[in-house]
Amino acid sequence: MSQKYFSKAEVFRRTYTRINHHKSLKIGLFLSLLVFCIAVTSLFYTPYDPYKMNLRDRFSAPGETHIFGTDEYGRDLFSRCMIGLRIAVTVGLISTSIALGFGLLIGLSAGMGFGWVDEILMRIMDGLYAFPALIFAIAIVSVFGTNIYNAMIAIGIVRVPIFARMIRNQVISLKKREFITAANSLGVSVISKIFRHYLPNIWAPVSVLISSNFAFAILSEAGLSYIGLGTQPPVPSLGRLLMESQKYMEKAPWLAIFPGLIIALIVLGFSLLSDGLNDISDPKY
Amino acid sequence: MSFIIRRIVTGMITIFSVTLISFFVFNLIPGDTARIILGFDADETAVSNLREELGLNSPLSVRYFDWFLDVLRGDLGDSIGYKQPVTDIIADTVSPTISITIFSLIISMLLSLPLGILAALKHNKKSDILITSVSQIGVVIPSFWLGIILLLIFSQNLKLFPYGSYTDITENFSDWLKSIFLPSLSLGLISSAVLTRVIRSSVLENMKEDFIRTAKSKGLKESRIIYKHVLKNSLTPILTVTGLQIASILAGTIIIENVFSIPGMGRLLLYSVQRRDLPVVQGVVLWIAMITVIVNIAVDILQIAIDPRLRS
Repeated sequence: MSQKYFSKAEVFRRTYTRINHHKSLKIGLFLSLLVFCIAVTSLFYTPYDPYKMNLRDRFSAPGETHIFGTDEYGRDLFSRCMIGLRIAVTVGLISTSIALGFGLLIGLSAGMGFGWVDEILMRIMDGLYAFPALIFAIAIVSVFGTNIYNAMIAIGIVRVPIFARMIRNQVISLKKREFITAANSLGVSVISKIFRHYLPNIWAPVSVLISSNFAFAILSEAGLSYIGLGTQPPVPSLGRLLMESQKYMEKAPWLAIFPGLIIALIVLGFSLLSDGLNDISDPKY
Repeated sequence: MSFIIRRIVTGMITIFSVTLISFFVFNLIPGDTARIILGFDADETAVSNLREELGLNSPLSVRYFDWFLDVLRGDLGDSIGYKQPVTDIIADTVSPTISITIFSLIISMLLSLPLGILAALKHNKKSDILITSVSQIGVVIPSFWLGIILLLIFSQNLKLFPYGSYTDITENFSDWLKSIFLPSLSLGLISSAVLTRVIRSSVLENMKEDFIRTAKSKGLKESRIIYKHVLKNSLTPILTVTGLQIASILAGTIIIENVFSIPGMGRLLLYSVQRRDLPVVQGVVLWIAMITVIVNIAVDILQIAIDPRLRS
């Protein structure tokens, strides 16, 4: 079977065309970029001080002055949601980096190493995978203490088996390809093989996993913070905002509605992005 | 048969790894475990007694082996806060958690099967687009947020369901159903969104197969083609995802119990984390992980029983 080779410019043009023809991928990309932009903006601008109490404005309903309303201390919910969104993005970035870093290390070692290395590493990954992610994250947080850093580490660790397994499977299937056999017979170093051959070829499925992991991390952090094991007060993560809203549900239902909607929109963005990337990386698409 | 034995053996190895990870995670506490549990201003004698009681003076490998043998006997140690065996405490809280998990799964299956099949049969038509869009939204909503919204509408405003109470099934069936309905609905709706997508794509894939074309050309009724040929062949991926969903629902129950203040394992876990009652936390985590492994083994064996192609 003949194999077509394309220049970098041609690859870029084809990728752009594929993205342009995929509606939900475009929506996912737009939402994800919007989330990143709001997160960066919140570093230097929020409409109101998210921590400043204003008891005269307690429980103001959503309106022109406060578009998402205010909480029990008169703090602006929109500004607090912006900070919550930034925390969600930070959790997504750090926990995904942990999962990707360890996943690459373990997946490459298992895939490229001897049979027994693969066997031992994969059995450990099986054991870790047997724990429902949230339960294992709760276990880690309970041992090392309840704060946002431990929550991020815990969320990252629980996803290592998924990254490791996928990378290992990709490496094993690549090992049989001619260009790897050729690299082996030319005596190319392991490091060079990883960076020049393996990583560029596993990048497409890894990028799908990265974006779906963002969605997972944000949902997990919201869950952990909701039960008080993630972000600690006064920092307003989206899960924590939901937890605090429950006391005032009848009086101020907006406190429960807006943070939940924002979580759903962020997760929607990353899952559409993940599904879309999965579609366009399929040669049959 | 050999596959079943092989699957049970690999399952045993996984269970062993689960115990190993559970033990080491809870023994990785930086510093002196006994002092951390009792607090830094605790009396030295009390710390020393607790260290002895927890067996912290022995080497880690010896402690793991002793603990593993105890776990095999069903002994998960004693709670520091409750001063009772962990197994007894878990047994007291297991009923609400299991009730919610099973009822959520029933809701999920009842919704996702007809919706998934309908979406596949009406591929690219209005009903398919509607079902796919709603299930896409369902996948991204946190179940506990849906729980809060359902609680706000049906419990606090309409007063149709109780809040913060649980009635055991043996006491009163209708009260039991009322007490678990909203938490189960929150988890079941989210889970059904995931399952609907899987069922839809699995049915769609099978509809393109040659044997379906043959069945159609033979003039078989559509309902017979769906139930006899399409569904039977779609069961393998559906079962795999259902197995994963059971684990996800079980984990979701831990949070949803806290939304509805139901005294199950989720409340117990959270309460124990807050009080640093680590033997209880370890017991609950291990128990849930074991259930997950056993469910996965059962799903794999069921798949083999249903699909003879997997036996080779």
